[in-house]
Amino acid sequence: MARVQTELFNQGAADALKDPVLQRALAGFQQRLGPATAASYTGLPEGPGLRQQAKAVRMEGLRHLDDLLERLADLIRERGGHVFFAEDSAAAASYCRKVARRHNVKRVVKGKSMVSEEIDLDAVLEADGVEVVETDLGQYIVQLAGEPPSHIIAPAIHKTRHEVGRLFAEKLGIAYTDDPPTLTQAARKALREKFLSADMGISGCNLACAETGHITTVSNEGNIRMATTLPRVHVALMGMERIIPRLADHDMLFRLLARGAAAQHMAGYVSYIGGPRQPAQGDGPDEFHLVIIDNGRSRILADTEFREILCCIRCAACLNVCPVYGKIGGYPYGFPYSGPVGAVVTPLLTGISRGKHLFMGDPLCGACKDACPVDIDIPRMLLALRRRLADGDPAWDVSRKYSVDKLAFDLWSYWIRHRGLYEAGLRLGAAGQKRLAGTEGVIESLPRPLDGWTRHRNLSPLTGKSFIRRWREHYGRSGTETEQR
Amino acid sequence: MHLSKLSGDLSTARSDSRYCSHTTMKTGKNQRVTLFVQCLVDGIYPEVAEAVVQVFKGLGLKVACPTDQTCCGQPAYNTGYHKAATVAARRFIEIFESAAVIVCPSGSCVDMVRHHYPALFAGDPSWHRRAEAVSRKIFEFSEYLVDVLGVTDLGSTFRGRVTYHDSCHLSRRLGVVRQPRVLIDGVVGAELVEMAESNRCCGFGGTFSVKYPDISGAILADKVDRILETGADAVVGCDISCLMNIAGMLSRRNSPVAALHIAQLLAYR
Amino acid sequence: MRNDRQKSFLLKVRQALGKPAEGGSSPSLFDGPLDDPEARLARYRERTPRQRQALLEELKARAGAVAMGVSVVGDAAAAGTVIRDLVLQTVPEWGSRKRVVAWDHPLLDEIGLAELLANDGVPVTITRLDENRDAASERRRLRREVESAYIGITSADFVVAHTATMVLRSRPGHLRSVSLVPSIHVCVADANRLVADLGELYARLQYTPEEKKQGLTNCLTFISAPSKTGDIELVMVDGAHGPRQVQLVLISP
Repeated sequence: MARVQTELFNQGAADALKDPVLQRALAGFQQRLGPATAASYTGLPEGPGLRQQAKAVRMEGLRHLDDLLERLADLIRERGGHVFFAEDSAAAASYCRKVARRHNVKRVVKGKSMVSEEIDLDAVLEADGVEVVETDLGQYIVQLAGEPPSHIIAPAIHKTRHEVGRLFAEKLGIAYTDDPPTLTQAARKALREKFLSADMGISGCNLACAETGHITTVSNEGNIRMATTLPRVHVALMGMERIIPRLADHDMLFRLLARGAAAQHMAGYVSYIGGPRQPAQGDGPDEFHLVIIDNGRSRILADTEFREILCCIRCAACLNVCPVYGKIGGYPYGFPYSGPVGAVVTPLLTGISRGKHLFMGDPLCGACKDACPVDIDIPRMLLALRRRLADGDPAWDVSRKYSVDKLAFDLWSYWIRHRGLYEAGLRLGAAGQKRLAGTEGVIESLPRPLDGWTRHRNLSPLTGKSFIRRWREHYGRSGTETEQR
Repeated sequence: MHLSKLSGDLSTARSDSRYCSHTTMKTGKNQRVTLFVQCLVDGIYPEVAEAVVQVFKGLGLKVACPTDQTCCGQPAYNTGYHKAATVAARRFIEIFESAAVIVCPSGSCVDMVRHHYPALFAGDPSWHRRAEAVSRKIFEFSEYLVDVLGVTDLGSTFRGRVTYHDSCHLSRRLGVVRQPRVLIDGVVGAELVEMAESNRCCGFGGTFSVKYPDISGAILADKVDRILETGADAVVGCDISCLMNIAGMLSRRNSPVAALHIAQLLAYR
Repeated sequence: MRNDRQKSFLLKVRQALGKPAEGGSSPSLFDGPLDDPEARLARYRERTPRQRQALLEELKARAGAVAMGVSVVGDAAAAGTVIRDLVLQTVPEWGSRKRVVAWDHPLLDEIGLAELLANDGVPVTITRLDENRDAASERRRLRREVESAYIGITSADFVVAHTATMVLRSRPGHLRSVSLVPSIHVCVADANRLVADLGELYARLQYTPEEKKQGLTNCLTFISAPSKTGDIELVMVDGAHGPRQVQLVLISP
């Protein structure tokens, strides 16, 4: 399992906000992707309502997940493929290691796979002496830099072209350039040698199809096709929820995925893979292994309030519109899944209490829901997570402890029940703020715990006489003007 | 732009039918509007509620304002404290369920009542019914003017350029995007200059702004930059919470740009 | 052991779904397609020449938007001319020798690539396994040929107009690497393989008997653009790992 550092969200966010290179890299990317994706939904022949249909298909698939997985496994085995059901990260990683050992694998080429990040597969194989080469350009860049990915589909979005130029000059021995085509060509050349000499290819799975018994891989670069076509062995990793019932359902899902991910009509490459090279065929891997991974997903599936997050097709559209992600990037989320989807799925996979800042540190703006190609209601689940944290939930190992917040809201709920007391509170506040107000009549510095507000902005002071009090003085307690005395 | 002009004696609010001469009133003149005054308006920006009253009286409507109202419960709900939120919601329903129509100058409070109240009482049929009933008759201020009353021209005047901020819950959850713009268009002398990404969050998010001040502040800084780029004299919105946030940074930057609730803009003569 | 693992895994899923421990299959899920396949198939069969022309135009427009070339020619000879021009105008990316590798496919046989390019001194390898020789060494030979070729020529089972997608099945003689490893991919297809959209494609794959019989094969590939990446500051660059140039040649008599 990847290292979980969700508890360090605030520190990570503070570092990110102070990092001028990151801020430069993040500035502008959302403006380029976010609006274009929204426009691409509007341009769908079926209209943006297709997103709701796609969600219905995904939810239907989840309700029949057991049957779909069984069918997928059966059909793949019929074609000579191997299917391994891994209950957790360790089982999945050790299976991959076993396959690599059996084939005496020296070099692995990988297509980008978020679930492989989740189970930290690279580290497991590298510890076994295997050279693991990430081949998605962004992922290759972060691997060379010794960093994890910071975005679900654009792993090196936190890096500027200058940084990539310096990195390639150092690691690939090329002359420094910050020209993206030249840098891309350098990676193309370096990775071609790796593809042609690798013993094993590892990919993820976008959306498997139960009806026909295929996984699918999606890319624009062609690296996943390389990794799944050229080496002797292909191991595909699949989060157990990444499956749909019928082939026909892929029609809308692939079009929506391409729009959500990059405002494209269609990804450059989609492959349906349902087994190893068949006997008379001239290429393709001799062995195909599919590893289907639970690793906490069944607990999410069981909770109907959160099941919907398993509809996610990892397009990253929500990252591309989220104001928080746009400011702090992916690292503060402390796990491979970042942004709004990470704010929900990461705490569910790795601990709600520990990861509370991921779902608390969000203004609930709802941009993610509108951007999602399968219409996942992320804001609803952010609220649901907050409720579990507040109330405690043994099913999620959240203790029911008495917090300062809870005490505050208990007092608050008493206060707001009594208008007189409420009024007194306002007056008390108004009196207390006198020493806070600055020269212009605005408050420039508040004491704890409200000091956060005035760190970046001023505050208008409380009025001496609330609107309701003025109204009551004018119209009486009933507040109805016809009853004016 | 003298906000102080708006404050003062409520009885001076005019009742003048000429303000709706160019519009079709879908409801009778004797319609009584019951105000829900968002807590921030009540406690910090009473002039916004006064402007609302002035606009309604200008349209010849009767205005009621229950004086035992406090908060809709959104702060508790958004922090996960449903029990506390339920206390607030019950109280709100008891106070407002006898009203014919409830109008609130805040999109997020209306969203709370309209969408979250029914969810809050999902397991309690009798309260759920009452919540549903209340949720059907609450309207956000600009939504009520344009969609219910059919008013677009209030005879308001404002000399200057304004830009409009789409607050998140108002635009995304209530779908109110067109209505405020229609109203701004009806203000004589006001030129609407759209800011880039007007529907991007301002970074307020309730307690988020206090508990995650640096992230919130960074998001807000972008919003304020977008506003200043337009060269507008005022930024107009329908949620005082966003406006308070935006005004706080404008003030910190010593910017002369005013943050106005749409009711304040419409109350200008 | 493996079965135990699968059993306990799926049992956990069933429990999560609130189902009884012994699951049954959900055949109903696959019985009914989302909409009427007959309607989609009829649309294909009954397409008028004008509608077909409109689809071609749509294909060209979409392909143009993703920097993919489309030539529509009248016969195999004209397709050969397009290919030869391409060979003459382009240079290898790796190494200096121009070599071409092509599928073992009737449509390409008709073009007669080897003879066509012989005078230009460009060797053409057809990816056919010699049945009289050891299969593994034959595969190694073809792999070397694919690696050393700078143009790979394939056909396509279908071409989808709305998304400019070439749909390639894996078969003996139809190597996956031919459309992938060489720097330039040329795809020659009969215009009667043109379908309107993915929905029509899936309907054809599943509901016309001859297609259904073949199935998706062990690897069905959609290609909708040259290989590209935007991973450095979102600057789009063609030629990430796969072909940096893609040319579709449709033969429409």
